[in-house]
Amino acid sequence: MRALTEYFKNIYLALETAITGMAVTLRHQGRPSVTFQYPDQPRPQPLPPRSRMSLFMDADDCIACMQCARVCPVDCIELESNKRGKEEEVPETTTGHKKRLELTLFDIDMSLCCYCSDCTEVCPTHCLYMTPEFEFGLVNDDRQILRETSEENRIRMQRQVVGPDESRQGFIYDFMAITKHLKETGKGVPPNPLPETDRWEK
Amino acid sequence: MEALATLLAETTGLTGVPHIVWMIIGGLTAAGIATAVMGVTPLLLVYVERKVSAHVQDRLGPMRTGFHGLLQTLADAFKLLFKEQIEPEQSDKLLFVLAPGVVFMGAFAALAALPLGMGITAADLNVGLMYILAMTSVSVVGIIMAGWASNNKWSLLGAMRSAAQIVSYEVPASFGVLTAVVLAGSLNMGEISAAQSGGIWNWFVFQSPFGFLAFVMLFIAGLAETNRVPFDIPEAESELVAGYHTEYSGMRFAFFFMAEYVNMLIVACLGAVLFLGGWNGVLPGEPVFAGIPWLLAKVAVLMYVIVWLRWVLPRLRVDQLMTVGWKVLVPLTMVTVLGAAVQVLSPPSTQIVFRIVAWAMTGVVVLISIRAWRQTAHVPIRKKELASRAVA
Repeated sequence: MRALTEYFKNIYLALETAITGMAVTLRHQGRPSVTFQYPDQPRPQPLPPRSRMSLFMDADDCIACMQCARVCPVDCIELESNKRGKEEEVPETTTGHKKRLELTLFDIDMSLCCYCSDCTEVCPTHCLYMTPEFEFGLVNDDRQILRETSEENRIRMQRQVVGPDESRQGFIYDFMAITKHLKETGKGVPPNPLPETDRWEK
Repeated sequence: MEALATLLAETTGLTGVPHIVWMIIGGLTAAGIATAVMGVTPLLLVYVERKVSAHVQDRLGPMRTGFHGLLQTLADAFKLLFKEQIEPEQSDKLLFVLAPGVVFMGAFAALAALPLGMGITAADLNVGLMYILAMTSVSVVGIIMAGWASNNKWSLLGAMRSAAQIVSYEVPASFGVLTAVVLAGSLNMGEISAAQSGGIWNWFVFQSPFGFLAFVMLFIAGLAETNRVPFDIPEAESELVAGYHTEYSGMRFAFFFMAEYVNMLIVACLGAVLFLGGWNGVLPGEPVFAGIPWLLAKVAVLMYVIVWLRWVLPRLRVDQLMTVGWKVLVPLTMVTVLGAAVQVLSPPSTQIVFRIVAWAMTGVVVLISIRAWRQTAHVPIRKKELASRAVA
């Protein structure tokens, strides 16, 4: 007898829970979606500050210590520097470090970069940092990488570190030229999004 | 087809033509219409499924192909047409090529006996129901052929499970259909529909409690017949890759795909014709446009419920599936057939009791639904993200 009541109770429960589930899904239908249609609609909120979207280096603060090149797991950073003569005045970075070496070449091959941000953690002057800018796809004339969208969207998406042509050869970013170009044209370098307290201090 | 043949003979007025010619032309026209339905239904149904699935999941679904993604299924069909049809090297060539055809044929042949409106049936068979059940069972052979011929363990397992499932659920489906047959007194789909004329209270769901129960059980058995959730073990993507149609690509896969959606259409049509009054409207009297809009509306509602259920219920395990089929549905459908027979043989003065019980059952379901709706009022609407969309 017990088994019989269990049997019918199970059947009732199955139907009742199915109907409750249908009510839940019905409540979801007809609601505005939580997704948005990129790239026709830009992202509503900026990404969080720790997002590892693209690497940037402010060349005026670099002391050419080569820590970033040494720690990079894929060896994508090329760094060359010169010793200054004894009579020259030693400039200082914004963080108070003395620039004893003169930076002559700083290239990062973005196609090799794996966005691990090890280099940003060892940089003593915090001139190398990750920014939350993610819209820097390349659009060549012969090979459209980005999806077709309106002209203004395409321009908006190319705004990150697109310097003059000599500052970017394919994927190799020459940060000295990029920094110079950004500061001269007044566009300004992208700021370091991490707050001061979160940066590793030597 | 008879009606179509006589219609053609009368409208053209040619007297010397033998009747067989009109029959052939009528048959070909009906076959053409059935093919059109077979081609168009999956198109619409795939789009509806994708959009409904998306909205249940708070997203948008296809939006870029055509206005709000209306051309998405056409794009899919195009892609499948041009895809290379790969055959595994060690596969059984003949069976591999024939299997999609057999499955497609089972679904396509069953379309012939489905009515579209009053007097509009491609083949108004007196044993129409038996024909439909028989034809849908032919697809099982095709599925087993597909699983075996693929030379793939997972395909074979999926095919075996699918065959077991479909064959097991043929029994309660047949009993559910039998309930309607007993209530109507005929196997002819047209006559069953006509027996439910006279307003919404004459539909078999509301005329008999056994009709109500049989409708629910026919619906569940129909879900299992077409391998839809919660009975989609044979094509569970996470478990068997894709079951019996893993090794198929291109147009052959499209055949399986279309056959599944047409099977859904057949199940929905069966439910609508047998229990929901067929082409009859809600009010008594002759339905407008021979009842085509009413039948289409009911079929559309049932298909929407099938798509909706996909996102409500978790997948049943294969032993749970067999339990539900044999231990729950088979005894209960047998009871409904018995009850329907008792009802039909009772004197007319007692029929009102049966109707009251049927309406009471409907009321219970409505009450459960209302309670479920109120219980789920807390389902979150994620206001935070919606408010920030106003920024863009």
